[in-house]
Amino acid sequence: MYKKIKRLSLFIVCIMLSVGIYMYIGMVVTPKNIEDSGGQLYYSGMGFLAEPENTLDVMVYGNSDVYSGFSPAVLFEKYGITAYSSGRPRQTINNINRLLGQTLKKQQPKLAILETDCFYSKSTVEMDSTNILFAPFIYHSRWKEIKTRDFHDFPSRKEDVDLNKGYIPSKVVYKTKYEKDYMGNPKSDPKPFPKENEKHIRSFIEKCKKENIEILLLELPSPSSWSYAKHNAVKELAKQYDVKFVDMNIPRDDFKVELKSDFRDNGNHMNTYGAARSTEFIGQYIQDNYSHIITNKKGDKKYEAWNNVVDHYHRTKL
Amino acid sequence: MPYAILTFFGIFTAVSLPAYAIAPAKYRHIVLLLISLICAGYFSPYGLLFMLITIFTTYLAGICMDEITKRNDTKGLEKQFRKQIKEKIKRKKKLIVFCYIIINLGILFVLKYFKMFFSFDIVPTAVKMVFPLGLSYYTLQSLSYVIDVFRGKYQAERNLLKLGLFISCFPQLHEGPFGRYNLLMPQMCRNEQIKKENVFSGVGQILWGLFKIFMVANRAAIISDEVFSHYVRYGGVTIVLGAVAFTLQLYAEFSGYIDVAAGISKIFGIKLTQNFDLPFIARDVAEFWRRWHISLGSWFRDYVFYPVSTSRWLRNLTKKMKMALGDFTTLTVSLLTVWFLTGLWHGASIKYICYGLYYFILMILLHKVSPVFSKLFEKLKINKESKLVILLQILKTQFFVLIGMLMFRANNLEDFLSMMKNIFRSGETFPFLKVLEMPEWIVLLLSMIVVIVSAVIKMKHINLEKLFNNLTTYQKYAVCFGACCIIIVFGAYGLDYLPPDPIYGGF
Amino acid sequence: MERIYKILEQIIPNTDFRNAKDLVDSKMLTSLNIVKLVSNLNEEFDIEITPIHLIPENFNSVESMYRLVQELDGE
Repeated sequence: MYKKIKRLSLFIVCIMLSVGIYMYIGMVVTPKNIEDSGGQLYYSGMGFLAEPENTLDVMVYGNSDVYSGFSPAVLFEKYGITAYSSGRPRQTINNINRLLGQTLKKQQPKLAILETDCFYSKSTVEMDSTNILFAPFIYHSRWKEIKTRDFHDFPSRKEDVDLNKGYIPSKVVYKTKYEKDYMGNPKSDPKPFPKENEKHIRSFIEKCKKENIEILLLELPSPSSWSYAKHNAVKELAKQYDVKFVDMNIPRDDFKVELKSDFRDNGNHMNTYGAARSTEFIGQYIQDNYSHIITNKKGDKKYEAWNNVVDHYHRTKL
Repeated sequence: MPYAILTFFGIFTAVSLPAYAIAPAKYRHIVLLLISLICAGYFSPYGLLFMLITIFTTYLAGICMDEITKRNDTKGLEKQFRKQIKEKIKRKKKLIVFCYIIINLGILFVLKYFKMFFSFDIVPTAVKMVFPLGLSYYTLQSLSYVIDVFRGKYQAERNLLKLGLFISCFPQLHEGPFGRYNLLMPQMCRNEQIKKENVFSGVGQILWGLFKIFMVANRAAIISDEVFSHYVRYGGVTIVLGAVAFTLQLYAEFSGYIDVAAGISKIFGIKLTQNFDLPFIARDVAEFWRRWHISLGSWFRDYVFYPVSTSRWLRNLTKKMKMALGDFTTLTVSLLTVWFLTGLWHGASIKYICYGLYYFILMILLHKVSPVFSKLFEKLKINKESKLVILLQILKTQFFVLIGMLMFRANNLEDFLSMMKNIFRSGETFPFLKVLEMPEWIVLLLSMIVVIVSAVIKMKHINLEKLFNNLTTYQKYAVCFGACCIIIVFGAYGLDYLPPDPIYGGF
Repeated sequence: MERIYKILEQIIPNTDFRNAKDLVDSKMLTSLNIVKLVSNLNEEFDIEITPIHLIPENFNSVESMYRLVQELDGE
């Protein structure tokens, strides 16, 4: 009996010790700063956690289109609006719901912009980059840059403020192979969303309405992934829930896509030039439609730190 | 998908372990067979068909030959009759073996040529669909079984399922090592329950294999890829460095995958044959091939070299010649056959055939030159067993091996020749730190030291495996866990490293 | 026996094959040597050694070779 207990406890201690060591390794290799290698991946659009309480008026959720095509620095410089660009590669609407919940713990945004490209991405089985159990695999090139702070600092997204506010600039210009009519036939049948996503979209909209947050469905220019079929589906959805929908792929007087200069790859992600242009358009749209709830924070002492954001943007732009 | 094979080996092992453990001892080999077939079918659905053809033909060939022998019992007959009947049996059996070889080598050659010519034009997935997993390996393995039954070394297997497992057993499908029926079958049929000792020593060997693949091979691959793809830029020392890096990569990777396969088999209580025995301490090229890819070398020795060299027509041919010349002709003909086929086995291209012929020439030279050297040593009173002489011999062997590797890795023969020319030319200095960052170099060197130390320990005739097996369970666990962590953190895999395809997996 | 010694003397001179019990396993007799040995044995004793007899056990010592030759001679 005694022997059995001893063996069992030894076994448990052994398991716990290995799990502990493994978690510690995971902690050590996890990026501690958005500038570390893999830092962007670790923050995964959650850098807003480090922002001071109740300072963000606009939250932009979506996938990689968002962090490539929307620059909060430009928005603040031109319109004095504080925003965060919360994008993550292959983001799902399910995950955005979780982000919304986390946002509401510290922020009270007036407007939530939801980029609609992610309505069509299903959740995949790929490793969750925010789970510490996968950290040694995901950040496995981090051992090359390990510093002493990595051994004692707990990884946290809440400490270092991200000067880019989620935006990831790219100066690459790629001449896309797409023509002006890349959207296809305007009368295309709406392409249905994956079943699981419909539920999550509804819960996002309901939550926002409950919290008194205005919703804007937005599609950033993306010739390689967008079409009229998708446009029409989102349009129907917007009608159904009575929310605004702006599709920047459809040419309008104040914004037209430049297929030869706005993108860093073949029509999927925008570069700095495209992002600056699209952000200006979005800012103008917000000013025109939401000025009653969103105010200009320029010159406000509380928002002085945002001037650094603008400076940083200009420093890294060239 | 990179590392698909390792991932799926992991998954298949994990799935089959409980199934194997739960199954009644009688049916355990069937569990393994099913898993193996699913594994093969997963990688190439149509290829599975070819594998089944091989299994059935092997089974039939074995049984038929057995039946023929049984039906013509020679006991109690007079000597003269006996001989006659024996001749008749032999002729019949020969016909069966001949048909068998035509079918199976036919599949091997057609598919391999198909792969060589089309893999770049047609969608690679299509090739993958048709090309069975481990074709080159299991074909040779089943061939050895049929030939041995023909020779009467053992009786044919009557159980189709057991024979199927022998041919398709999944750990060795990827890169071998292919074993012999008389050694493998008793172990496969033992249906041994999974034991703690076996699991630990198996996992230990798997980790050792992964260590070699991820810590050494994948990093050395970055160096050799840089040199071989931009060899025009570099000269002299750099090309030698590239060849050394490739040799290292090939050894670490190949032996690593073999260790993984052997480790998985060991968990199921099956001990695979050894495929490498410290190849880099060989004193001549012949010894090198007795230590490198042993399963291939011994296969060609037993089923090509011996039959050819003792064949009747060759004897009739050499009978008319003088003794020495006759011996020499025998050797030349049989070695030529062996090395031509060895080259061809690696791939249906001129490069690989030249690679085989290169070793043929070396073997002949070795055979002619070594007696001269022995006499020279005797005259000069040099001790052949002195350490310096051994060291020089090892270096000389490695020099020839390196040239062989250069040919093996070069994109084609022309590239190989111009690389050889470039060795005597100076070129750009090799951008050491650009190819691999400093920490990577350090890890690469440290892991190489680990591999070298393990080799030295083996040379001292200390059995590391035994030492490991003698540890207590918790010590074993600690070693495995530590190795796991090291490979996960420092291993070269994932986005920052181009996943190299396993070299011998393609053969 | 003596005739086998003589043949071996030609093929692997300067080795202690008389008392050795592991000629093949210790790699004193390599596959090249074995082929030569076989052809000489065939000639000398007028027998036919076939690939099936080419296993280490038959060539590890002079005694086992002697046994093999006797066995084949009987047929």
